[in-house]
Amino acid sequence: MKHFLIQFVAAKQRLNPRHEFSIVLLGVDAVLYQEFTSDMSKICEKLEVLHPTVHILDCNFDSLFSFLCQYIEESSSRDSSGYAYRGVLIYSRSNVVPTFTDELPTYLHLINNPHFVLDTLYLHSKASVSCDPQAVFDKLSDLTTGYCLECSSSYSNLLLHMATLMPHPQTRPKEQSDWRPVMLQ
Amino acid sequence: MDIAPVFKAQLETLTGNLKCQVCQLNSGCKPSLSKGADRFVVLVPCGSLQLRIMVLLDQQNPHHPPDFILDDTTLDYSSLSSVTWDVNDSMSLLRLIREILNKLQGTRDSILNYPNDVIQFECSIVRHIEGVQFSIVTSPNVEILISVPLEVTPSQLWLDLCGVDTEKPRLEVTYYPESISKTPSPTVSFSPSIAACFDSFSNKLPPWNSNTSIIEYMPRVSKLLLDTIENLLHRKAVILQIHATLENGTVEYDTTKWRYTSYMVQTTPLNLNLVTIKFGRDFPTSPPAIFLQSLPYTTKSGGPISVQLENIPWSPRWSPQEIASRLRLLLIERVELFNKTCAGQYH
Repeated sequence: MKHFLIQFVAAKQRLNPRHEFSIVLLGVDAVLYQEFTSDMSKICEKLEVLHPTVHILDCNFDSLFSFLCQYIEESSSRDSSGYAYRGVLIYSRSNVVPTFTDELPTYLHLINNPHFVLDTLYLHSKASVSCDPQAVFDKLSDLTTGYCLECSSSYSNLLLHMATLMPHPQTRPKEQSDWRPVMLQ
Repeated sequence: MDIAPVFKAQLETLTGNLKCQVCQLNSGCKPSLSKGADRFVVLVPCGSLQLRIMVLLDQQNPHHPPDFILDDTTLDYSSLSSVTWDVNDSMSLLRLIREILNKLQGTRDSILNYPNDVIQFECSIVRHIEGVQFSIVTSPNVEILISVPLEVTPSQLWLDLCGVDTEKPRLEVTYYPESISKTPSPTVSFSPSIAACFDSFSNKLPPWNSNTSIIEYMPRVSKLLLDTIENLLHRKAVILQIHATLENGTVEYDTTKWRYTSYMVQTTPLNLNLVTIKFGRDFPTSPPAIFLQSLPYTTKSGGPISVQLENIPWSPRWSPQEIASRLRLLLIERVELFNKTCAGQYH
Protein backbone atom coordinates (compact mmCIF):
# COMPACT_ATOMS: atom_id res chain seq x y z
CA MET A 1 0.00 0.00 0.00
CA LYS A 2 2.83 2.38 0.80
CA HIS A 3 4.39 1.56 -2.55
CA PHE A 4 1.21 2.56 -4.29
CA LEU A 5 0.79 5.73 -2.30
CA ILE A 6 4.32 6.81 -3.16
CA GLN A 7 3.69 5.99 -6.82
CA PHE A 8 0.45 7.94 -6.67
CA VAL A 9 2.04 11.01 -5.14
CA ALA A 10 5.03 10.86 -7.51
CA ALA A 11 2.78 10.59 -10.54
CA LYS A 12 0.52 13.46 -9.52
CA GLN A 13 3.49 15.66 -8.67
CA ARG A 14 5.04 15.04 -12.06
CA LEU A 15 1.82 16.12 -13.74
CA ASN A 16 1.57 19.41 -11.91
CA PRO A 17 4.18 20.64 -9.41
CA ARG A 18 1.52 22.85 -7.82
CA HIS A 19 -0.30 19.82 -6.42
CA GLU A 20 0.09 19.59 -2.66
CA PHE A 21 -0.40 16.62 -0.39
CA SER A 22 -1.25 16.19 3.25
CA ILE A 23 -1.61 13.13 5.48
CA VAL A 24 -4.25 12.88 8.19
CA LEU A 25 -4.40 9.85 10.46
CA LEU A 26 -7.51 8.59 12.16
CA GLY A 27 -6.98 6.70 15.41
CA VAL A 28 -9.64 7.52 17.93
CA ASP A 29 -9.55 11.12 16.66
CA ALA A 30 -8.17 12.68 13.52
CA VAL A 31 -4.60 13.92 13.71
CA LEU A 32 -2.60 15.91 11.18
CA TYR A 33 0.46 13.83 10.32
CA GLN A 34 1.85 15.92 7.46
CA GLU A 35 0.56 19.35 6.50
CA PHE A 36 0.07 20.34 2.86
CA THR A 37 3.31 20.27 0.95
CA SER A 38 4.50 19.82 -2.61
CA ASP A 39 7.80 18.41 -1.36
CA MET A 40 7.78 14.79 -2.51
CA SER A 41 10.61 13.76 -0.23
CA LYS A 42 8.71 14.87 2.88
CA ILE A 43 5.64 12.89 1.89
CA CYS A 44 7.65 9.78 1.03
CA GLU A 45 9.60 10.02 4.26
CA LYS A 46 6.41 10.22 6.30
CA LEU A 47 4.81 7.36 4.41
CA GLU A 48 7.85 5.13 4.85
CA VAL A 49 7.78 5.35 8.63
CA LEU A 50 4.02 5.04 8.93
CA HIS A 51 2.78 1.83 10.53
CA PRO A 52 -0.23 0.83 12.63
CA THR A 53 0.41 0.95 16.33
CA VAL A 54 -2.90 0.00 17.88
CA HIS A 55 -5.83 -2.18 17.02
CA ILE A 56 -9.00 -0.13 17.21
CA LEU A 57 -12.34 -1.88 17.33
CA ASP A 58 -14.59 0.99 16.36
CA CYS A 59 -14.53 4.00 14.08
CA ASN A 60 -16.41 7.25 14.22
CA PHE A 61 -15.77 9.72 11.45
CA ASP A 62 -17.22 12.81 13.16
CA SER A 63 -13.85 14.04 14.37
CA LEU A 64 -12.37 13.42 10.92
CA PHE A 65 -15.04 15.51 9.21
CA SER A 66 -14.70 18.29 11.77
CA PHE A 67 -10.95 18.26 11.33
CA LEU A 68 -11.12 18.26 7.54
CA CYS A 69 -13.68 21.06 7.49
CA GLN A 70 -11.51 23.32 9.61
CA TYR A 71 -8.25 22.32 7.93
CA ILE A 72 -9.57 23.03 4.46
CA GLU A 73 -11.07 26.34 5.52
CA GLU A 74 -7.76 27.46 7.07
CA SER A 75 -5.84 26.33 4.04
CA SER A 76 -8.21 28.13 1.65
CA SER A 77 -7.96 31.36 3.59
CA ARG A 78 -4.15 31.24 3.47
CA ASP A 79 -3.95 30.62 -0.24
CA SER A 80 -6.44 32.20 -2.60
CA SER A 81 -5.10 30.41 -5.67
CA GLY A 82 -8.29 28.43 -6.02
CA TYR A 83 -7.23 24.94 -5.01
CA ALA A 84 -9.67 22.04 -5.17
CA TYR A 85 -9.44 19.55 -2.32
CA ARG A 86 -9.64 15.84 -2.57
CA GLY A 87 -9.50 13.32 0.23
CA VAL A 88 -8.55 9.71 -0.41
CA LEU A 89 -9.70 7.74 2.61
CA ILE A 90 -7.82 4.48 3.01
CA TYR A 91 -9.86 2.38 5.37
CA SER A 92 -8.48 -0.90 6.61
CA ARG A 93 -10.45 -1.66 9.79
CA SER A 94 -11.66 -4.68 8.00
CA ASN A 95 -14.58 -5.65 10.14
CA VAL A 96 -15.47 -2.35 11.74
CA VAL A 97 -18.56 -0.65 10.39
CA PRO A 98 -17.80 3.05 10.69
CA THR A 99 -20.28 5.48 12.12
CA PHE A 100 -20.83 9.15 11.56
CA THR A 101 -23.52 11.73 12.17
CA ASP A 102 -24.94 12.57 8.77
CA GLU A 103 -26.53 15.73 10.13
CA LEU A 104 -23.27 16.97 11.59
CA PRO A 105 -22.81 20.55 10.32
CA THR A 106 -19.16 19.98 9.44
CA TYR A 107 -20.02 16.86 7.44
CA LEU A 108 -22.78 18.70 5.58
CA HIS A 109 -20.45 21.63 4.96
CA LEU A 110 -17.87 19.25 3.48
CA ILE A 111 -20.15 17.33 1.18
CA ASN A 112 -21.77 20.54 -0.04
CA ASN A 113 -18.42 22.15 -0.76
CA PRO A 114 -18.08 22.10 -4.57
CA HIS A 115 -14.30 22.15 -4.21
CA PHE A 116 -14.09 19.03 -2.04
CA VAL A 117 -14.34 15.37 -3.07
CA LEU A 118 -13.92 12.32 -0.88
CA ASP A 119 -12.83 9.02 -2.44
CA THR A 120 -12.52 5.82 -0.43
CA LEU A 121 -10.39 2.75 -0.79
CA TYR A 122 -11.49 -0.03 1.55
CA LEU A 123 -8.95 -2.78 2.27
CA HIS A 124 -10.40 -5.81 3.98
CA SER A 125 -10.10 -9.46 4.75
CA LYS A 126 -12.21 -12.00 2.95
CA ALA A 127 -15.80 -12.35 4.08
CA SER A 128 -16.32 -14.79 6.93
CA VAL A 129 -18.51 -15.41 9.91
CA SER A 130 -16.68 -12.70 11.80
CA CYS A 131 -16.16 -10.33 8.90
CA ASP A 132 -18.90 -8.67 6.88
CA PRO A 133 -17.11 -6.45 4.32
CA GLN A 134 -20.37 -5.67 2.55
CA ALA A 135 -21.81 -3.88 5.57
CA VAL A 136 -18.64 -1.84 5.94
CA PHE A 137 -18.56 -1.03 2.25
CA ASP A 138 -22.18 0.07 2.26
CA LYS A 139 -21.52 2.48 5.09
CA LEU A 140 -18.40 3.83 3.43
CA SER A 141 -20.36 4.36 0.23
CA ASP A 142 -22.83 6.51 2.16
CA LEU A 143 -20.18 8.98 3.24
CA THR A 144 -18.13 8.96 0.04
CA THR A 145 -18.86 11.74 -2.43
CA GLY A 146 -16.51 10.44 -5.12
CA TYR A 147 -15.35 6.95 -5.95
CA CYS A 148 -15.72 4.13 -3.44
CA LEU A 149 -13.45 1.16 -4.12
CA GLU A 150 -12.77 -2.04 -2.23
CA CYS A 151 -10.06 -4.64 -2.34
CA SER A 152 -9.24 -7.72 -0.31
CA SER A 153 -5.95 -9.44 -1.03
CA SER A 154 -5.69 -9.05 -4.78
CA TYR A 155 -2.60 -7.19 -5.95
CA SER A 156 -4.07 -6.71 -9.40
CA ASN A 157 -7.24 -5.15 -7.99
CA LEU A 158 -5.20 -2.82 -5.85
CA LEU A 159 -3.18 -1.80 -8.86
CA LEU A 160 -6.31 -1.13 -10.88
CA HIS A 161 -7.82 0.86 -8.02
CA MET A 162 -4.74 3.06 -7.76
CA ALA A 163 -5.01 3.70 -11.47
CA THR A 164 -8.70 4.52 -11.05
CA LEU A 165 -7.90 7.00 -8.30
CA MET A 166 -5.28 8.74 -10.41
CA PRO A 167 -7.61 10.94 -12.52
CA HIS A 168 -8.44 14.44 -11.35
CA PRO A 169 -11.96 14.55 -9.83
CA GLN A 170 -12.87 17.48 -12.06
CA THR A 171 -12.01 15.66 -15.29
CA ARG A 172 -13.02 12.07 -14.55
CA PRO A 173 -16.50 10.62 -15.17
CA LYS A 174 -18.95 10.87 -12.32
CA GLU A 175 -19.47 7.12 -12.33
CA GLN A 176 -16.30 5.16 -11.66
CA SER A 177 -17.41 2.42 -14.01
CA ASP A 178 -17.24 4.91 -16.89
CA TRP A 179 -13.50 5.40 -16.52
CA ARG A 180 -10.97 2.86 -17.70
CA PRO A 181 -7.38 2.92 -18.96
CA VAL A 182 -6.72 3.05 -22.67
CA MET A 183 -5.95 -0.39 -24.05
CA LEU A 184 -3.18 0.08 -26.59
CA GLN A 185 -3.41 -2.43 -29.42
CA MET B 1 -33.11 43.50 -10.30
CA ASP B 2 -34.55 46.64 -8.67
CA ILE B 3 -32.64 48.74 -6.19
CA ALA B 4 -33.16 47.85 -2.53
CA PRO B 5 -35.89 50.12 -1.10
CA VAL B 6 -33.53 51.70 1.43
CA PHE B 7 -31.44 53.17 -1.41
CA LYS B 8 -34.21 54.00 -3.87
CA ALA B 9 -34.31 57.70 -3.07
CA GLN B 10 -30.53 57.99 -3.41
CA LEU B 11 -30.55 56.41 -6.84
CA GLU B 12 -33.48 58.45 -8.09
CA THR B 13 -31.77 61.67 -7.01
CA LEU B 14 -28.55 60.60 -8.71
CA THR B 15 -30.15 59.78 -12.06
CA GLY B 16 -32.41 62.82 -11.87
CA ASN B 17 -29.55 65.25 -11.43
CA LEU B 18 -26.58 63.78 -13.23
CA LYS B 19 -26.33 62.67 -16.82
CA CYS B 20 -25.47 59.03 -16.28
CA GLN B 21 -26.58 55.48 -16.80
CA VAL B 22 -27.01 52.94 -14.01
CA CYS B 23 -26.57 49.27 -14.83
CA GLN B 24 -25.41 45.88 -13.53
CA LEU B 25 -27.60 46.04 -10.45
CA ASN B 26 -26.98 43.13 -8.16
CA SER B 27 -26.96 42.22 -4.51
CA GLY B 28 -24.02 41.54 -2.25
CA CYS B 29 -26.27 39.74 0.27
CA LYS B 30 -27.41 36.18 0.56
CA PRO B 31 -30.57 35.70 -1.50
CA SER B 32 -32.65 35.03 1.61
CA LEU B 33 -31.68 38.38 3.09
CA SER B 34 -31.72 40.49 -0.05
CA LYS B 35 -34.55 42.92 -0.72
CA GLY B 36 -33.06 44.22 -3.94
CA ALA B 37 -29.79 45.48 -5.37
CA ASP B 38 -27.23 47.25 -3.27
CA ARG B 39 -24.47 47.23 -5.89
CA PHE B 40 -24.49 48.84 -9.28
CA VAL B 41 -22.38 50.53 -11.91
CA VAL B 42 -22.71 54.19 -12.79
CA LEU B 43 -21.57 55.17 -16.28
CA VAL B 44 -20.86 58.86 -16.72
CA PRO B 45 -20.00 60.34 -20.12
CA CYS B 46 -16.81 62.38 -20.00
CA GLY B 47 -15.96 63.89 -23.35
CA SER B 48 -15.52 61.03 -25.78
CA LEU B 49 -15.07 58.58 -22.92
CA GLN B 50 -17.28 56.95 -20.38
CA LEU B 51 -16.23 56.83 -16.76
CA ARG B 52 -17.26 53.68 -14.96
CA ILE B 53 -17.85 53.78 -11.22
CA MET B 54 -18.94 50.68 -9.35
CA VAL B 55 -20.88 51.55 -6.21
CA LEU B 56 -20.94 49.05 -3.33
CA LEU B 57 -23.56 49.69 -0.67
CA ASP B 58 -24.73 47.29 2.03
CA GLN B 59 -28.44 46.89 2.56
CA GLN B 60 -27.77 44.98 5.77
CA ASN B 61 -25.89 48.02 7.07
CA PRO B 62 -27.25 50.98 5.07
CA HIS B 63 -25.57 53.53 7.33
CA HIS B 64 -22.16 52.26 6.31
CA PRO B 65 -20.73 54.55 3.66
CA PRO B 66 -20.33 53.06 0.18
CA ASP B 67 -17.15 51.82 -1.46
CA PHE B 68 -16.36 52.79 -5.00
CA ILE B 69 -14.36 50.88 -7.57
CA LEU B 70 -13.06 52.73 -10.61
CA ASP B 71 -11.86 49.99 -12.96
CA ASP B 72 -9.16 48.36 -10.84
CA THR B 73 -8.84 51.10 -8.26
CA THR B 74 -10.82 50.98 -5.05
CA LEU B 75 -11.55 54.46 -3.81
CA ASP B 76 -11.67 54.71 -0.06
CA TYR B 77 -14.63 56.70 1.29
CA SER B 78 -12.34 58.48 3.71
CA SER B 79 -10.54 60.15 0.77
CA LEU B 80 -13.83 61.84 -0.14
CA SER B 81 -13.51 63.97 2.94
CA SER B 82 -15.80 66.79 1.94
CA VAL B 83 -18.96 64.63 1.78
CA THR B 84 -20.77 62.90 4.62
CA TRP B 85 -22.73 59.73 3.93
CA ASP B 86 -26.24 59.84 5.27
CA VAL B 87 -28.57 57.16 3.98
CA ASN B 88 -31.54 59.34 4.96
CA ASP B 89 -30.30 62.23 2.84
CA SER B 90 -31.23 61.45 -0.75
CA MET B 91 -28.51 63.81 -2.01
CA SER B 92 -25.61 61.91 -0.37
CA LEU B 93 -24.85 59.57 -3.22
CA LEU B 94 -25.06 62.34 -5.81
CA ARG B 95 -22.58 64.45 -3.85
CA LEU B 96 -20.16 61.53 -3.50
CA ILE B 97 -20.30 60.71 -7.20
CA ARG B 98 -19.76 64.37 -8.09
CA GLU B 99 -16.70 64.53 -5.86
CA ILE B 100 -15.29 61.40 -7.50
CA LEU B 101 -15.81 62.92 -10.91
CA ASN B 102 -14.05 66.09 -9.82
CA LYS B 103 -11.10 64.08 -8.58
CA LEU B 104 -10.92 62.04 -11.79
CA GLN B 105 -11.16 65.08 -14.01
CA GLY B 106 -8.50 66.78 -11.94
CA THR B 107 -6.18 63.81 -12.36
CA ARG B 108 -6.69 63.60 -16.10
CA ASP B 109 -6.11 67.31 -16.58
CA SER B 110 -3.00 67.32 -14.42
CA ILE B 111 -1.50 64.53 -16.51
CA LEU B 112 -2.41 66.05 -19.85
CA ASN B 113 -0.77 69.29 -18.74
CA TYR B 114 2.22 67.70 -17.03
CA PRO B 115 5.36 69.73 -17.80
CA ASN B 116 7.23 67.02 -19.68
CA ASP B 117 7.49 66.81 -23.47
CA VAL B 118 7.39 63.01 -23.61
CA ILE B 119 4.35 62.77 -21.35
CA GLN B 120 2.49 65.46 -23.23
CA PHE B 121 3.33 63.82 -26.56
CA GLU B 122 2.27 60.35 -25.44
CA CYS B 123 -0.93 61.61 -23.88
CA SER B 124 -1.86 63.70 -26.88
CA ILE B 125 -1.69 60.76 -29.27
CA VAL B 126 -3.68 58.34 -27.13
CA ARG B 127 -6.19 60.64 -25.44
CA HIS B 128 -8.84 59.99 -28.07
CA ILE B 129 -8.55 56.20 -27.95
CA GLU B 130 -11.76 54.81 -26.54
CA GLY B 131 -11.16 53.43 -23.06
CA VAL B 132 -7.79 55.12 -22.42
CA GLN B 133 -7.09 55.83 -18.75
CA PHE B 134 -4.55 58.04 -17.04
CA SER B 135 -3.36 57.98 -13.47
CA ILE B 136 -0.56 59.60 -11.51
CA VAL B 137 1.35 58.76 -8.38
CA THR B 138 3.27 61.58 -6.79
CA SER B 139 4.99 59.92 -3.87
CA PRO B 140 7.74 58.96 -3.38
CA ASN B 141 8.44 59.87 -7.04
CA VAL B 142 6.20 60.91 -9.85
CA GLU B 143 4.93 58.00 -11.93
CA ILE B 144 2.41 58.42 -14.70
CA LEU B 145 0.44 55.46 -15.96
CA ILE B 146 -1.23 55.35 -19.35
CA SER B 147 -3.53 52.39 -19.87
CA VAL B 148 -5.02 51.53 -23.26
CA PRO B 149 -7.18 48.59 -24.33
CA LEU B 150 -5.53 46.18 -26.77
CA GLU B 151 -7.28 44.92 -29.84
CA VAL B 152 -7.06 41.28 -30.84
CA THR B 153 -7.63 40.79 -34.55
CA PRO B 154 -9.42 38.70 -35.63
CA SER B 155 -11.64 39.25 -32.61
CA GLN B 156 -13.16 35.79 -33.03
CA LEU B 157 -9.96 34.34 -31.57
CA TRP B 158 -10.50 36.30 -28.39
CA LEU B 159 -14.11 35.23 -28.23
CA ASP B 160 -13.15 31.58 -28.75
CA LEU B 161 -10.73 31.72 -25.88
CA CYS B 162 -12.40 34.01 -23.40
CA GLY B 163 -16.06 34.42 -24.26
CA VAL B 164 -18.19 37.46 -24.89
CA ASP B 165 -18.22 38.98 -21.44
CA THR B 166 -14.46 39.14 -20.86
CA GLU B 167 -12.88 42.55 -21.16
CA LYS B 168 -10.03 42.98 -23.57
CA PRO B 169 -6.53 43.15 -22.06
CA ARG B 170 -4.93 46.50 -21.44
CA LEU B 171 -1.43 47.75 -22.17
CA GLU B 172 -0.23 49.74 -19.19
CA VAL B 173 2.88 51.86 -19.50
CA THR B 174 4.39 53.55 -16.49
CA TYR B 175 6.48 56.65 -17.17
CA TYR B 176 9.04 58.13 -14.79
CA PRO B 177 9.29 61.76 -15.84
CA GLU B 178 11.65 62.71 -13.02
CA SER B 179 14.20 60.07 -13.92
CA ILE B 180 15.81 60.51 -17.33
CA SER B 181 17.64 57.19 -17.14
CA LYS B 182 14.60 55.13 -16.27
CA THR B 183 12.80 53.90 -19.35
CA PRO B 184 9.03 53.45 -19.24
CA SER B 185 7.96 50.02 -18.14
CA PRO B 186 5.13 48.29 -19.99
CA THR B 187 2.93 45.49 -18.70
CA VAL B 188 -0.28 43.92 -19.89
CA SER B 189 -3.19 43.38 -17.53
CA PHE B 190 -5.96 40.84 -18.02
CA SER B 191 -9.36 40.25 -16.48
CA PRO B 192 -9.11 38.08 -13.35
CA SER B 193 -11.14 35.35 -15.06
CA ILE B 194 -8.42 34.75 -17.66
CA ALA B 195 -5.31 36.15 -15.98
CA ALA B 196 -4.00 32.64 -15.25
CA CYS B 197 -3.84 31.90 -19.00
CA PHE B 198 -1.44 34.78 -19.49
CA ASP B 199 0.45 34.92 -16.21
CA SER B 200 3.88 35.16 -17.84
CA PHE B 201 2.83 37.25 -20.85
CA SER B 202 4.31 40.52 -19.60
CA ASN B 203 7.74 38.84 -19.37
CA LYS B 204 7.73 38.35 -23.13
CA LEU B 205 6.95 41.93 -24.13
CA PRO B 206 9.24 43.58 -26.67
CA PRO B 207 11.87 45.84 -25.12
CA TRP B 208 10.99 49.51 -24.71
CA ASN B 209 13.71 51.65 -26.25
CA SER B 210 14.48 55.27 -25.59
CA ASN B 211 12.59 56.48 -28.66
CA THR B 212 9.68 54.09 -28.42
CA SER B 213 6.22 55.60 -28.37
CA ILE B 214 3.15 53.91 -26.94
CA ILE B 215 1.23 54.30 -30.20
CA GLU B 216 3.81 52.27 -32.15
CA TYR B 217 4.33 49.82 -29.29
CA MET B 218 0.68 48.84 -29.13
CA PRO B 219 0.50 46.92 -32.43
CA ARG B 220 3.64 44.97 -31.52
CA VAL B 221 2.05 43.87 -28.27
CA SER B 222 -1.20 43.09 -30.06
CA LYS B 223 0.73 40.86 -32.46
CA LEU B 224 2.45 39.07 -29.60
CA LEU B 225 -0.89 38.59 -27.90
CA LEU B 226 -2.37 37.20 -31.08
CA ASP B 227 0.50 34.71 -31.44
CA THR B 228 0.09 33.65 -27.81
CA ILE B 229 -3.63 33.11 -28.24
CA GLU B 230 -3.17 31.17 -31.49
CA ASN B 231 -0.60 28.91 -29.86
CA LEU B 232 -2.82 28.35 -26.86
CA LEU B 233 -5.81 27.49 -29.02
CA HIS B 234 -3.66 25.15 -31.08
CA ARG B 235 -2.50 23.30 -27.96
CA LYS B 236 -6.09 23.10 -26.82
CA ALA B 237 -7.16 21.63 -30.16
CA VAL B 238 -4.37 19.06 -30.00
CA ILE B 239 -5.21 18.00 -26.47
CA LEU B 240 -8.91 17.68 -27.21
CA GLN B 241 -8.12 15.65 -30.31
CA ILE B 242 -5.89 13.32 -28.28
CA HIS B 243 -8.78 12.88 -25.84
CA ALA B 244 -11.05 11.97 -28.72
CA THR B 245 -8.54 9.57 -30.28
CA LEU B 246 -7.70 7.72 -27.08
CA GLU B 247 -11.37 7.84 -26.03
CA ASN B 248 -10.75 7.20 -22.36
CA GLY B 249 -8.16 6.92 -19.64
CA THR B 250 -7.74 10.66 -19.12
CA VAL B 251 -5.98 11.37 -15.83
CA GLU B 252 -5.67 15.13 -15.82
CA TYR B 253 -4.91 17.98 -18.14
CA ASP B 254 -4.23 21.68 -18.03
CA THR B 255 -7.43 23.58 -18.81
CA THR B 256 -5.86 27.01 -18.34
CA LYS B 257 -2.82 27.16 -20.57
CA TRP B 258 -3.27 23.72 -22.15
CA ARG B 259 0.34 22.86 -21.46
CA TYR B 260 0.01 19.20 -20.49
CA THR B 261 -2.29 16.21 -20.60
CA SER B 262 -1.99 12.70 -19.21
CA TYR B 263 -3.55 9.28 -19.65
CA MET B 264 -3.53 5.84 -18.08
CA VAL B 265 -2.68 3.26 -20.72
CA GLN B 266 -2.16 -0.49 -20.66
CA THR B 267 -0.92 -3.16 -23.00
CA THR B 268 -2.08 -5.99 -20.73
CA PRO B 269 -4.52 -5.71 -17.80
CA LEU B 270 -1.74 -5.23 -15.27
CA ASN B 271 0.81 -3.32 -17.32
CA LEU B 272 -0.52 0.08 -16.40
CA ASN B 273 1.44 3.15 -17.39
CA LEU B 274 0.90 6.85 -16.91
CA VAL B 275 1.59 8.79 -20.10
CA THR B 276 2.25 12.52 -19.70
CA ILE B 277 2.49 14.85 -22.67
CA LYS B 278 3.89 18.32 -22.10
CA PHE B 279 3.84 21.13 -24.64
CA GLY B 280 6.83 23.44 -24.34
CA ARG B 281 7.14 27.08 -25.31
CA ASP B 282 8.52 26.15 -28.73
CA PHE B 283 5.61 23.88 -29.65
CA PRO B 284 4.72 23.21 -32.47
CA THR B 285 8.17 23.93 -33.84
CA SER B 286 9.46 21.23 -31.48
CA PRO B 287 7.50 18.13 -30.52
CA PRO B 288 5.88 17.78 -27.11
CA ALA B 289 7.80 15.95 -24.40
CA ILE B 290 6.31 12.52 -23.67
CA PHE B 291 6.93 10.71 -20.40
CA LEU B 292 6.04 7.18 -19.35
CA GLN B 293 5.74 6.08 -15.74
CA SER B 294 5.17 2.47 -14.77
CA LEU B 295 2.60 1.77 -12.06
CA PRO B 296 3.42 -1.85 -11.21
CA TYR B 297 7.21 -1.52 -11.32
CA THR B 298 9.52 0.48 -9.07
CA THR B 299 13.25 0.83 -8.61
CA LYS B 300 14.98 -1.29 -5.99
CA SER B 301 14.59 1.52 -3.48
CA GLY B 302 10.86 1.72 -4.17
CA GLY B 303 10.97 4.88 -6.26
CA PRO B 304 8.96 5.43 -9.45
CA ILE B 305 10.31 4.47 -12.86
CA SER B 306 9.82 7.16 -15.45
CA VAL B 307 11.37 7.75 -18.87
CA GLN B 308 11.10 10.46 -21.48
CA LEU B 309 10.60 9.16 -24.99
CA GLU B 310 13.32 10.19 -27.41
CA ASN B 311 13.52 10.39 -31.19
CA ILE B 312 9.84 11.18 -31.60
CA PRO B 313 8.79 11.49 -35.24
CA TRP B 314 7.49 15.00 -35.70
CA SER B 315 6.38 17.71 -38.10
CA PRO B 316 5.15 21.14 -37.01
CA ARG B 317 2.74 21.07 -39.96
CA TRP B 318 0.70 18.16 -38.67
CA SER B 319 -2.89 18.86 -37.86
CA PRO B 320 -4.27 18.00 -34.41
CA GLN B 321 -5.85 14.89 -35.91
CA GLU B 322 -2.53 13.78 -37.40
CA ILE B 323 -0.72 14.43 -34.13
CA ALA B 324 -3.23 12.40 -32.13
CA SER B 325 -3.23 9.52 -34.58
CA ARG B 326 0.55 9.30 -34.72
CA LEU B 327 0.77 9.60 -30.96
CA ARG B 328 -1.41 6.56 -30.52
CA LEU B 329 0.80 4.53 -32.87
CA LEU B 330 3.90 5.74 -31.08
CA LEU B 331 2.52 4.73 -27.72
CA ILE B 332 1.56 1.26 -28.95
CA GLU B 333 5.17 0.69 -29.92
CA ARG B 334 7.01 2.41 -27.11
CA VAL B 335 4.87 1.44 -24.13
CA GLU B 336 5.30 -2.25 -24.93
CA LEU B 337 9.05 -1.76 -25.09
CA PHE B 338 9.06 0.19 -21.84
CA ASN B 339 7.11 -2.54 -20.06
CA LYS B 340 9.53 -5.22 -21.23
CA THR B 341 12.44 -3.14 -19.99
CA CYS B 342 10.78 -2.65 -16.63
CA ALA B 343 9.97 -6.36 -16.30
CA GLY B 344 13.55 -7.28 -17.06
CA GLN B 345 15.29 -4.78 -14.83
CA TYR B 346 13.06 -3.70 -12.00
CA HIS B 347 10.81 -4.96 -9.21
